[in-house]
Amino acid sequence: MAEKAHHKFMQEASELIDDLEQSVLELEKERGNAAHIEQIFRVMHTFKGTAKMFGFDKIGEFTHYLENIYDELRAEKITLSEGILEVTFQSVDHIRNLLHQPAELAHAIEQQHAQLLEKVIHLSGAATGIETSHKAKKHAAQLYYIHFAPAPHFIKTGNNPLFLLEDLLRHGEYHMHTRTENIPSVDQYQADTTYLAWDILLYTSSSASELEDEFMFVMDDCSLQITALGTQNLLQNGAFLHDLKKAGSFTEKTILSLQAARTSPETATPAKTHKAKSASGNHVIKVTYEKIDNLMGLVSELVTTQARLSLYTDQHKTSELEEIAENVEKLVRQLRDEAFSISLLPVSHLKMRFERLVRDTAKDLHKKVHFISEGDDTELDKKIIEALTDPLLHILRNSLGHGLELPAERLAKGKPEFGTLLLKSYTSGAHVVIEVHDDGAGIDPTRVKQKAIEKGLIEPHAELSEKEIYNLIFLPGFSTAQAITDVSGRGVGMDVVKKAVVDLRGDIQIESTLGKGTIMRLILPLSLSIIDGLLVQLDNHQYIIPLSSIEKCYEVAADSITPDMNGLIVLDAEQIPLIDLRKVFDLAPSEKERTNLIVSRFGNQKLAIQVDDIVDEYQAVIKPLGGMYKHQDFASGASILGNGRVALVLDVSRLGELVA
Amino acid sequence: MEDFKLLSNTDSYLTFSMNQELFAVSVKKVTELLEMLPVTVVPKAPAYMRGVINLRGSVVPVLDTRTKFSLPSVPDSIDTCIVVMTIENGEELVKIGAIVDSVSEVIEIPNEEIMPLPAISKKERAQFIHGVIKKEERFIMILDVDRVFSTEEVISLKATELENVG
Repeated sequence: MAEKAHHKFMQEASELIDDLEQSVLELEKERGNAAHIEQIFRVMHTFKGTAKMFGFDKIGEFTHYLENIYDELRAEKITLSEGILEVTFQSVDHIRNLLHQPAELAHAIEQQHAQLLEKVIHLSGAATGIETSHKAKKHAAQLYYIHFAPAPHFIKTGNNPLFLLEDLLRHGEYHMHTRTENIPSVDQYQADTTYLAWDILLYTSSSASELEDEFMFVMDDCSLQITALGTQNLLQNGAFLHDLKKAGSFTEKTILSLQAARTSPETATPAKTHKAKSASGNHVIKVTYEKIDNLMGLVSELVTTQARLSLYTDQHKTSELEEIAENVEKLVRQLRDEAFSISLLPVSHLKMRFERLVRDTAKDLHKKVHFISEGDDTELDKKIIEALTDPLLHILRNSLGHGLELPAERLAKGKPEFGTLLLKSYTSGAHVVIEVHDDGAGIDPTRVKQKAIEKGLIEPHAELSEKEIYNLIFLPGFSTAQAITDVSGRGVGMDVVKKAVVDLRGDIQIESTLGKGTIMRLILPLSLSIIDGLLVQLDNHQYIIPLSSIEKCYEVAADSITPDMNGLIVLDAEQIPLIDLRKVFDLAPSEKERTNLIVSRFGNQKLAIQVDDIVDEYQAVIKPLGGMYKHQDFASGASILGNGRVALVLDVSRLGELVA
Repeated sequence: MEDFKLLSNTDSYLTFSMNQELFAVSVKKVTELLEMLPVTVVPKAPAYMRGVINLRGSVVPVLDTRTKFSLPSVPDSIDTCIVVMTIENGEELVKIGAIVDSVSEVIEIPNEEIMPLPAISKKERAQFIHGVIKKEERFIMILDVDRVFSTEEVISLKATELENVG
């Protein structure tokens, strides 16, 4: 249980540190903004409290002094300096280290701790002691009514209500009543169930949100009500206390009526009521990834089972069965979409991790950059987001290292001193596109080509289009860095990035204008596990083409397809490369008179895929083909059909490469 | 494992036949035996990679063991079987199905009866064979399935070439 609580703390703590880092970054950008200082102070305050509660005394102490600095900043006793920001950044890293305490770094952390602590204490003036610090001096003291009822499973979640109460009551003077009426008779009593609830009157200078913060880790597991009852300290009112004690148990109502009876009316109006988050309403609950994964797994199986049901229904047509099957299909589809949306995270999740890296890298390289983002609320599967972190880091490092020029160079070119790095995300059909734009030097195709020739990647006389040249960058062992820097260009280069993106069934494209800048475009599927596909057929082989990559389908006479020498056909007055799946898959030519063309688009590229028949639309649960088929990457996976057979899921962009 | 061997020097092997030759694999590797199932072809794969099957919801690659061992192909018969095994492919454990003519029996083989390949046999072949045993005047080759099925090569294994063993 202690472990569970510890785990929960670590999780919350990581989030708090991320928040902290984010706020500091924002503060660095907008130094005058008091809201950021306030935010940092608040996060640190919460952090300190919880760290101490869980026995992370070192972190508690450390944060305490840090908090003091921001307390003084916020009181405008000192002004924000470069030094403070730098120390704060270092502290954020240090707190992370303290939290995770990698054993091999123990000594270094110890040293770092001493050094940083000294710096922090120095900056904070160190006048204020730990005990006095967390009583915010700004708020006028108020009387609060607090009702705290832990859920029956409260103890099982690793929380102890008594600790919470202890922390809460430290805020000030109080009167408390424990509600015991829910305790069952002995034979029904279960030791690990929480039956108690508490009513508290608390007179404190802390704000309601600060009181609420004490419960921040247990919000989902209790019902909490905090009501401000005015500034009068009724706890000093003997008659009121007497009445209260006589009444024994009390509720907000009791207090209000007693208050009305014993005090002057003008102070009796209750102020704002803070209702705590509860399961109902439009509130947030936290769910572990594991649960979501399980849910997705079940939905996937349901989708497969539903396909069987549909097939069976087709074979045994009875109107009632059809109606049921249709309904089930509709529900499964809705359930699938709902379950998907749960596993989606906004891209801003990624951006947060990058901001710090961009800042530090730019500083190391003596480059000046504005890192901005667009479309932060674009959502992506959490697994994709996780898998994208490293590739995007690499791309950003590359843009900073190779793309953006030094400030002097930029000024000489007539560009603004500060470079711009833009992380742009948007949804395009069933794909999510993430682009990294920089307004740097751009990629020089001649240099890339020369490099590739030097490395023996291409023949010296090879005629390549600009696009083909850019794609050389993704070859293993390619790096354009003229000098090997710490930041980028260590040989583990864009090939790793490309592989990571391809593994996600995505694609990466480069657009670059020499002297103007570069765009790296990552095109990603919305989801990894289930897609809408089109089931197509060649002889008795069935394949699934993701609907997301399909633009149009044509049924045409077989003899009307006459590709030119380059394998291009003309469709709607546009030249499109043709992929005859039969040819590609080494099947004998079809005798059929009619054939189907599926026009697909992937990024900027169009392809016409020729198949015999289009069978149906199909929801495909994608299963991996496994390492044995790693060379057959035109199949991004396989899916089990309603009849139990397996159909391959085709990757249109890889198919294109196969014939190119 | 070592401790176990001290107690008993006998291991169990599943034997199967192909082209009238007998092969054996350790039962520790075998997870199940299946009757022939419909196989989905994966285009552009080597000929011995027959395709993939649906094994209760997961997609499992199946290999044509005859083709893999450079033996002449025959049409599938009622005896044709898929031996599902878990093998080490590089770092990872993968499930594969090996299509064989027919499975024979599970036999117990004392370790001391396993003979090494004769020194004259080709080196490249030796790496796929754990050893040879003689049972009722027939040679049975004990396959090192991790090696046999994780290599991308087609290999040549013929027990008849071993007639001059011991």
